[in-house]
Amino acid sequence: MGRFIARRLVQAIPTLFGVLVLTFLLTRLSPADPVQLMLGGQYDITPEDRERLRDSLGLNDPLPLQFVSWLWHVIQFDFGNSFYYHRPVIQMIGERIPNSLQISISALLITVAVGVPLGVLAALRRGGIVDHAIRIFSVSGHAIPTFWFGLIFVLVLGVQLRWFPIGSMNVVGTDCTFCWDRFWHLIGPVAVISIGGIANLPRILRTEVLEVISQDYVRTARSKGLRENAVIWAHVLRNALIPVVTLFGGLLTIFVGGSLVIEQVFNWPGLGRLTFEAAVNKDYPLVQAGVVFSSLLLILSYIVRDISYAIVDPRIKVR
Amino acid sequence: MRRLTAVLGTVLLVAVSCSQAPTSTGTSPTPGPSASDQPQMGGRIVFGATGDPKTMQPVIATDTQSSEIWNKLYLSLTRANYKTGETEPNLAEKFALSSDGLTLTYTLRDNLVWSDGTPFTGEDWKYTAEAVARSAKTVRKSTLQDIVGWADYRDGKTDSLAGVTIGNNGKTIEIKFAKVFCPATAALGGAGAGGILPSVHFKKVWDNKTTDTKTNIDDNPLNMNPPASMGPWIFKEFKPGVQVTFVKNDKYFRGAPFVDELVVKTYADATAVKNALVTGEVTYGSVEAKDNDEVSKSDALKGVRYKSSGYTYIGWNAKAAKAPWLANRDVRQALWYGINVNAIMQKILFGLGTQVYAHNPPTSWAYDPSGLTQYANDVAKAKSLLEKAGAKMGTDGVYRWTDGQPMRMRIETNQGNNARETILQFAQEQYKAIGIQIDPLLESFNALLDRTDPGTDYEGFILGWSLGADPDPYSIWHSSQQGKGQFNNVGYSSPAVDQALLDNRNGPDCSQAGRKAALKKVDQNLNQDAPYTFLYAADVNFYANKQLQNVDPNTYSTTWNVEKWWFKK
Repeated sequence: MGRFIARRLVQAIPTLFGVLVLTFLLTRLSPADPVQLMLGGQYDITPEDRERLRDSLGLNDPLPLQFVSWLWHVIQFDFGNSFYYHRPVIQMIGERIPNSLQISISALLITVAVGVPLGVLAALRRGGIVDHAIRIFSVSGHAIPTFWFGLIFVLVLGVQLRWFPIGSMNVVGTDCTFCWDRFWHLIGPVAVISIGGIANLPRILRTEVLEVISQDYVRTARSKGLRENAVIWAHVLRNALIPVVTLFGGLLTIFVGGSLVIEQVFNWPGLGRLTFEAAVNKDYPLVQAGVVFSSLLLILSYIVRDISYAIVDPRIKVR
Repeated sequence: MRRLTAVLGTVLLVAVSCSQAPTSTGTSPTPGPSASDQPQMGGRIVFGATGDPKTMQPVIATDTQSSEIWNKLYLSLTRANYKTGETEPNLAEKFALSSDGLTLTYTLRDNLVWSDGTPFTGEDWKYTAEAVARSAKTVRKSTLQDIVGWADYRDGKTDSLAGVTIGNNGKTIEIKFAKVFCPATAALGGAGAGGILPSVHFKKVWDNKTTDTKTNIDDNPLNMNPPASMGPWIFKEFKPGVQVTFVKNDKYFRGAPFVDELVVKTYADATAVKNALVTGEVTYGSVEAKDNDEVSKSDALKGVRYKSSGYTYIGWNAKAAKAPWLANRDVRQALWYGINVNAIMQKILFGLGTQVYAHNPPTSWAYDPSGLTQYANDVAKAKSLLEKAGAKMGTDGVYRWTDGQPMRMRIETNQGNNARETILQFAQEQYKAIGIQIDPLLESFNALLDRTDPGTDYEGFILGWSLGADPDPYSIWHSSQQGKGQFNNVGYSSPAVDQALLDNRNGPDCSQAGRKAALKKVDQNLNQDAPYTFLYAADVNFYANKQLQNVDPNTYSTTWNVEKWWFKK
C-alpha cells in the first residue's frame, strides 16, 4: 500500500504542475498591470519608480524566467503579499482553509450517510413509490443550482421563519468550533451543498445495486440462509460501492466548487469566499494562491479516492 | 475609494446648515429618552460592514470599510455637527483663525488622555500631519499643502514641519499658512488624515524627525493593530472575514459608553447586512430604498430617514478617444435632456430623494438651485441639440458624428450596485430613443476606479460622491486636477469655474456669503456645461433595534452620541 500511495503522489506532480502553469498564465494574460494594482493609491510615484519596481519584481524578464521565479517561491509556500490587504497571502489562506474544510468534510459525511441508504432503498424498492420519489429528488437536486437552494434556505428558513441562522460561523460574541452554536450554523451550508451529492449518489448506486443483486454469489448467499440485511450490506453493497468510490472525486469537485458560491451566500469566511472577493478586487496574489490551494485540495482528494478504491477492490493495487 | 476620499478631502468649515430634520419611518417613531428612562449598562452593538478593512490607520485608508474602523479610535480636533454640518469642538475646546486668515490656533481640552493613559498633545497632531507629508500611499496631501514649510518637509529638506508650533505644554497648536485657506478650521482638525494618531506608539515604527523620505508610516504592524484610542471604543481583536471587536474606552473624554462592546461584523454584501438587520443580528444600519418597505415592517426596528450629503451622476469624459462628441457642450446637454431622471428616481428610490442639477447637494449651505436649468426629459430637444452640434441621423436610427462614425459609446458602472445598474439600463434604453447607442459595461468597483482614473479610454460612467459639510469642490472640478489619481476625470476645464473654485478656497472673501457666491458660479457653469448628467441625492433609510435608546442619526453622523446609547431591557 505504501508504494501505491507513493506512486500516486508522484503521479500528482504533473497535474499540479499543469495547474501552476495555467494559474500563472491566466493571471499574466489579464489586461490589468500588476504594478498599477500593487501601487493602488500611491499617486506620488514617478514613472521611473514604477519601472524600478517592475524590474525588481522581475516583470521585465521573459515569461519562462518569471514562471521559474514564481514557481520557486510557490514551492516555498511564498505567494507574496495581498495587493488589497497588504498581508502575507499564505497567512490569509491558512486562516480560511480550516473553515472551508469544516463545510466540505461535513457535507461529504452527510452525502454518504444519506445518499448510500437512499440508493440501496431505491434499488430494493425498484419501481415502487419510494423509488420514484428518490428518482424525482435526484433529478431535481441535480438540475437546480446549489446557490438557488442556498438563497431559498437563507430567505425562507433564515429571514422569514427564523429557524436557522442566516449565515456566519457563530453567533456574535461566541467563538467556538466544537460546540452546538457552530453545529447550528453549519446546518445551512452543509445541507445545501450536500444536496448536489445526495442527488447524484442514489442514481449511480441504484444501478450498481441492481446489477450486483442479480449476481450468482448473492443468490448463493441467500440460499445459504444468510439474513437479508447481511446479504445487502456485506455482499451487495461492498461490490456496488466500487464505482461509487469513483464518484467520490466528483463529489469533492462539487464541494470545492460549490463552496465558493455557498460561502458567499452563507457569509462563511472560507477559502471560496476569500478567492471570490480577491477576484472581484483583482487581488492577483490572493487569486493565484486560492486557485493553487483549491487545486491542491482537489488533487489530494483524488489521491484519497484512489486509496479508498484500492481498499474496496484489492485488484487495483496489482494493476 | 473615490467617494470616501471626497468625504475626507472635501473640507469642513463653519457652516450654517440647511439640512432637513429627519423623518420617522417604519412602524414606530424614534423614541427620545423620557425622564423615567434610566440608562442601563452593558450589551453589545453590532454594525454590518460589506468587507474587511484594508487598514485601521487613517493616513493611508481609502475605503469605507477601513474608515468604519479607524474613526472609532482616532478623532479630529473638530467635527461637523451631525445635523447642521457646522464645525464644532471635538478634542479642541476652541479654535481661532487670525483676521488675516494666515494663522490658525487650536486649543485642546484639559486632561485629554489616550486609552492607555498617555497624554494627548499637539505633538500627536504634528506627527500625523508629518506622516501624511511623507506617506506614499495617502491621497490627502492637498489639505495641508498651504502650510508654511510643507514642501520642504515633504521633500526631506527639513526634519520638521516649520509652519506648525506646539505650545503651552502641548495644549496649543499654531498653524501658519503661506496663503489664505478658507476651509482651514475644519479641514485641518484631523491633521489632514481625518484622525490623529498616537505618536508615542507610532514613533516606534516611523520616526517623523528625519529627512529620509524613503521611510514612512505606510507599512507597519500598528496599521492593523491600533495601539491606543481617543474615541469611545478600544480595538480588541480582528478576525479576518468575520469581525472587528471593540470594547468601551473608560477614558473617552465625553464619558465611557453605556454599552460594553461594539462589533463591526463582515458580511458578503448589502443584502446580507439587510437580512442580518431584519433578523436582529445587526443592531443598526441603513438599507437601500428597494428594501425599505420590507425592513420598515419589522416590529423589532425603528426607522429614521434623512438627507444624504452627496449625489449620483453619469460622468462624460470630454477627452474620450472613442467618443469625440463628448467634448461638445450641446451633446452633453442632449444627453441630459435624453434621460428621464424622474422615472429613474421613482424606480430606484421610490421617490425618496431629491433631483440635483449641479454639484452642491440640498444638504449644503451652498445649495441654491435658483436659475439652474432643470433638463426635463425631452427627446425632441435632445435630438435638435445633437443636430445643432453637427450630428446627422443614420439610416439605422443612430446619429453619425461629424467625422462619420456612429455615435456609439460605453457607459460603465460597478457590478452589484443595484441602483447604478438600473440607471445603466435606463440610459441604454433612453439614449437609443435619441439616436445614441450605448454599450453597457459592468465591472468591480476597484476596476471601475482604475479604468476611470483620468485618461482617454472611457466614455460614460455612473458613480456617486459623498461630500463633507464644508463645500470645497476644487479637487473635482479644477482644471489642474486631471492627472493620474486626481478626481477631475471628465476632463472638465473652465477658466470661470477655476477662478470661482480658488475664490471659495483662498478668498479674498472667506465669509460664508462670499463663498456661497463663488460656489453659485461653479454650479451655474456646471449646470450649463453638463460635464456630468447630475441625477439625484438619495435619502438615507436608517434603522436601529428598538431596544437601543438615544439613537439620533442625521446627515453628517449616525454615531455622534454613541457613548449615550443604551439597551432598554
